Parts: sequence; structure tokens; C-alpha cells
Amino acid sequence: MGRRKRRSYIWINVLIIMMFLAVIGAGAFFYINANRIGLVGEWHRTVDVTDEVADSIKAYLREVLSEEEIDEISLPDKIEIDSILIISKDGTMTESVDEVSYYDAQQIAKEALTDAVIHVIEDKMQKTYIETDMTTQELIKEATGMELSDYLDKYGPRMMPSMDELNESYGMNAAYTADRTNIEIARGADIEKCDYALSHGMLVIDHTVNAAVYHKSEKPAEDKNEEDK
Amino acid sequence: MKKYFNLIPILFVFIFAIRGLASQTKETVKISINGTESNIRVLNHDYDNNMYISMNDMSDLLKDTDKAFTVEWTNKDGQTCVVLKPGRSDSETDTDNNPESQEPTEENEEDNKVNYTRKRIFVNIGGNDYSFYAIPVSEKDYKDCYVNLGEFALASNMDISCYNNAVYINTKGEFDFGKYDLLNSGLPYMADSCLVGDATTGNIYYSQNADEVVTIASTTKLMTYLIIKDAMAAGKISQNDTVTFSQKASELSKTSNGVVRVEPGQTANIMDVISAMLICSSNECSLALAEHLSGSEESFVDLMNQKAVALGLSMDALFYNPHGLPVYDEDVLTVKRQNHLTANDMFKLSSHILEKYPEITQITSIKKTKLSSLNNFEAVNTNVLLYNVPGTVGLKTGTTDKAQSCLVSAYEASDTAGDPHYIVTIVYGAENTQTQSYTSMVLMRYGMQKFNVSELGIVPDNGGSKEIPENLEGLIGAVINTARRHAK
Repeated sequence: MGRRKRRSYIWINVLIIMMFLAVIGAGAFFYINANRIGLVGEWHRTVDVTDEVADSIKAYLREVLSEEEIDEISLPDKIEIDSILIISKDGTMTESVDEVSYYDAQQIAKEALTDAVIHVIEDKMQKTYIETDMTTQELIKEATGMELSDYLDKYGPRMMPSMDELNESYGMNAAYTADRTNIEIARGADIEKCDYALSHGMLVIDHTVNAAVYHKSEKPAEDKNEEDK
Repeated sequence: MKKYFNLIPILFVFIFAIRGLASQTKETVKISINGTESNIRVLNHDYDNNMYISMNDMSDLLKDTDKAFTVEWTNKDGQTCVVLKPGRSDSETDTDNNPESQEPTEENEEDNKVNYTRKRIFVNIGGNDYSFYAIPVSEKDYKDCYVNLGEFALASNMDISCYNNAVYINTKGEFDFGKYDLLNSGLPYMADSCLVGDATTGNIYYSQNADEVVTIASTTKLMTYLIIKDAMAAGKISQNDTVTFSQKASELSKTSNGVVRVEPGQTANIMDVISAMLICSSNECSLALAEHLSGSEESFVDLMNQKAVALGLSMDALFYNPHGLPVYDEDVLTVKRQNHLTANDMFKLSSHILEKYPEITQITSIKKTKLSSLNNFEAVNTNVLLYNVPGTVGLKTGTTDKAQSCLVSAYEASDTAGDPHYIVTIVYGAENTQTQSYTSMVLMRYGMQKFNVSELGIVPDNGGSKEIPENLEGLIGAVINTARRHAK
């Protein structure tokens, strides 16, 4: 009877050890791959074009205004464009400029330029003491044959890079492999090895040139419900 | 269309003094012709912005446009005449003039000073001989004619404007300006008072100080003409009459104010005497007409003042003689008196004459003629607008020290029914003949524009397709120019 009891203790111990090893192993697995798993999903970052737009507008106004006068022109505080990064489980990643945010930013820039030009024209007209029943926009239309926004589209300054240029700078279509802290991005024959960090919904990829900071895209509640279905 | 445009400098380009040799500052300014930028040589006569532009350079710059011309030099009646002959052949390139190689000059003003003679010469533009004060330049290897920019704009009728010391030309548009341009340019203030209106309808398009009393010098002779014509209409005298010059008229003819030298008892046909009075402003002929009708100058003057009342002229309308010369009264403390009224009065008087006796324009439109019964005296019209505004038909100049330079001019237009309208300009108290004629030209142009719009529904041609300004400065100028056209 004693021997049978000893054999059952051994199996229990083996089971316990195996369970312990399994837990350790699982823990180790998740410890090693949690980040890599966390990479997958949709991320976005903002491209700040505020200074670029402001500089373009100022350069355009500099033809007729002094620096002091230019400083008095109000310009937008912030013009940003979203860039969307999608990292897939299958080892591919793509990034591209979000069209909607690009055109929104473009619109803000155009409005800022239009307002600045109208301000300048009205200021100049005020100094000539001309009085007319026509609005500034009506005068511009008669003078140029087109609305001011169309005129500036054609003859005004280029304030922001084009979508293609931004995609050239920020976009990508690549394959990747990643461990806990490193990601290898393969764009064709080009391979870039970067450090990355994940924390609280923020992804930082330390590219060769500079670091890119992304935030996890929050899907709208409706989309989540759609998925659940 | 233009690149931006401020017409004020154009209308503000005028000459302050007529003298032979004077100083000019050479300058090269930016010019844009239908959007193509270049440079053009200018002379600023005596003052900044009193711009005279090189016709040689203008010819080069316009060579590829529909306003191309070549510069030719001729002689007309013993006077220098510059002909801007329309059209241009490829061989007509003056290699001496290359304005594109010259950058605008602003420095070393002393080095840019020259002394050319500005003088009245004929400048033929579009087939019409304009009598301009221009600056012909004839040097060793260089011959050119510099024409006042404003006068060139009026004569060529191109859409020309100035902004930021640059000149902008749209060859497909017409030169036009609005009331704002007149007001803000200060041009009307170059005279003591001025007015432009439709004498046929009584519609006054613009006036400045038109109720101010002014001495009217020889424009008096319009009233003299009216009295004479009324007398002819009443049968008191006839156009076949012979006028006899009195001792008084003869003595007047031999003074510095004399025009047609006559002897006591000399006779002439009354129509020649009237022509001499109106065309070359003969004071002795005015006196002779007065004495012919009334027997004495004093009686005739009474008729003039009675007529002024009858026409409803203001209390300020007063005549002392039939010719407009200053006279001294007979008091111990003698006073030099001159005929005077207001611009509004003269508008009424002119309108009445043109309505009742439009044949006056057959005389006043004559530039030069020989008066057979006055020993073939060559009467030369002193009204420069007969040359400078084609279509001008009269009426009378006037000059005394006090009155300065005066001009009542009339332009014959037609309404949609083909009925004649007379656009009349009145300028009193301009400081010299050039200012008087320049102001009258601009006012007449303004009056013609207003007439075209109000009577004919014609708006100035901006050349059809707009020339779009391609930079902000151009846009501002274009907008200001548009606002000016629509100014209240």
C-alpha cells in the first residue's frame, strides 16, 4: 500500500511542475510577444503644416506689406494633417495621408489666405478713401473675372505640399518583423531597423531620420457594434 | 486688364510752368504692356511724377501689339511734327534704344539731370495732329520725343494707369476714369473753377467752384457774339453789313492787346470781323462790332448786362466792355476792372448760344483761315482742344494776368436719335495755357464718358478679356481701379 501512495505523489508533483512550466512558458511567451501583438492595428499621427502655411502666406504678403504689418495679420494657430498607419498581423504595414484631413487642412489654409488678402485690399482701399457700394469680393470678381478663392487657387501661393508629396514623405507600403523592442521595416530592398516603444495607446517608432509618434485610432462606437455583429 | 492701377498719377501729371529750357530728371521706370514687363525711359519735367515718356521706347514696347507704331519726324507749317505712324515692320527696330537693358534708376539724381527744351509741337497720333507741349530730343546719335504720359493716354485712348511708379498698359482696353479720379487727382483744382456738362440738356456732369466769381477775359466775346446775333435776328443789322473801324478801335489794334492792325475808317465785312473776334480773339474787332451796333462801347455794354439779366445769370455777372480786357474806371482812386461771372453763368450763356445760334461752331471750329476783307489776315485759333480732342467745335479762349488762362470748349456728340448734343467744358483761372488745355482735355473726356453712358448706354471698353493680375500688387491695383470706376 505504501508504494502506490508514493507513485501518486510523484505524478501530482510532475503535473504541478508541468503546470508551473506551462504558466512560466505562457508568461514568457506573452512577455516576449505582447508588444508585437500590440503593434497590430490602426494608428495615426499628425503632420503639422502650420509653419509651412504661415510662411507661405507671409511670403505672399511681403510683396506689399512690411514685416510689422504682416505680424498684424492673424493666421491659424494649428493646421494638421492626419497620417494613418495600418499594421497587419500578416507582417505588412501601410501608411498614407488621410484625404479628409488633408482637404480640411487645405481649406483652413485657403481661408486664412483669403482673409489675409481681403484684409490687405480693404486696408489699401481705406487709405485711398474710395467709397463704393460694392463689396470687396464683388470688386475682386469684377477685376479678375473670378471669385477670390478661384483666383488664389490659380495665382496665389502654394501653401502646403500636395497629397502625393506628403505620401512620398510619410507614406509607406512595407513588410515588417518585430520583436519586443525592435522592428525591421522592409520597403522593397530597403530595410530599416528601428527601435519602437508601445505605451498607453502610443507607438513611437524611432526611424533613422526622426521618431514618429502614433496614437491608436479609436474606432467610433457604431463601428464597434458593426464588428460585434 | 491692368495690373493694378492708380489713375491718380496719370491725371496728376501736369506741367506747372511753360518755359523754354528747364530741367528734367532722367529715369527708367517699370512698364507692363499686356502683362509683359519691361522698362521705359522717362523724363520728369521740373517735378517728380511730371512724367514724359519716350516715344521711341513706347514704339519698341508696342511693336507686337495692335497699337504698334513707328516714330517719324516731319515738318508741318514750319513746325516740328512727330508722327506716331500706326503699324510697324520687322526692320523698324531702333538699336539705339534698348530700354530692356536699362534697370529703373533711382539713385544719383544729380547725374540724371538734363536740360531739354519743352515746346509745343504737333504729335500725330492715330491720324490726328495733337498740339502738345512735348520734349523733342536731338543729340548726336539719339533722336526721340518725350510726350506727357497723361496726354499720351488721352490721345492714344489705351487703358493706361500708374501704380507704385510703374506704368501699366492694356492695349485692348480704353482709357477711362471716374469721378473719384477727378476728385482725388486734384486735377480740377489746377483751375480756379471748372465745369463740364451737356449744354443741350443742361445736365452738369462735374463742377468745381462753379459759383465762384471769376474774371473771364476774352470769353466775354461769346456774349458779344450773342448780342450781335440777336441784333441780326431782329433785323437791326445784317450779316452783309460792312463794319467801319473807329479811331478807338484802331488805337486798340496798335497796343500790345491788338491782334488785327487796322486803321481808322478801315472797313471789313461783318462776318470776317466776327470771325476775327472768335477765332483769334481780336479785341479791336469786338470793339468795332459793339460800335457798329450801338454807336458806342458804353451802350453796347448796357445791352450785355441787360442780356445777362434776361438769361438769368447770377448777380455776379457783370460786363465792362465787349472784349474782356482790363479797364480802369474814371474815379480818382482808379480801379482796374474786368468782366466777371461764374462758371455756371458761362455754362448757361454757352448753352443758350449753342441752342439759338449753333452756327457759331462753324466759325469757332476753324483752326486757321484767311480773312479776305481784313487784308487776308491769317486768323489762327488759340483753342488747343481743336487739335487735341477731335470733334471739338469751339468755343473761346481767354487770357489776362488776373484771369490767367481760360477756355470754354464744346464737343459735338449725337444721341441715339442722331440729335446733336454739345458737351461743354469751362475752365477758369488755370495758371498757364498748357494747364488750361490739359484740364479741359481731361474734363472733356470725362464729359464724353458720362454722355456715352447716360445718353448712349455705352460703357468704356475694357478690352474684352480681362488681363488677370498675377501677383498681389497687381491684384490690389486692379481692385482699386475697379472701385474707382464704381465710386460714389
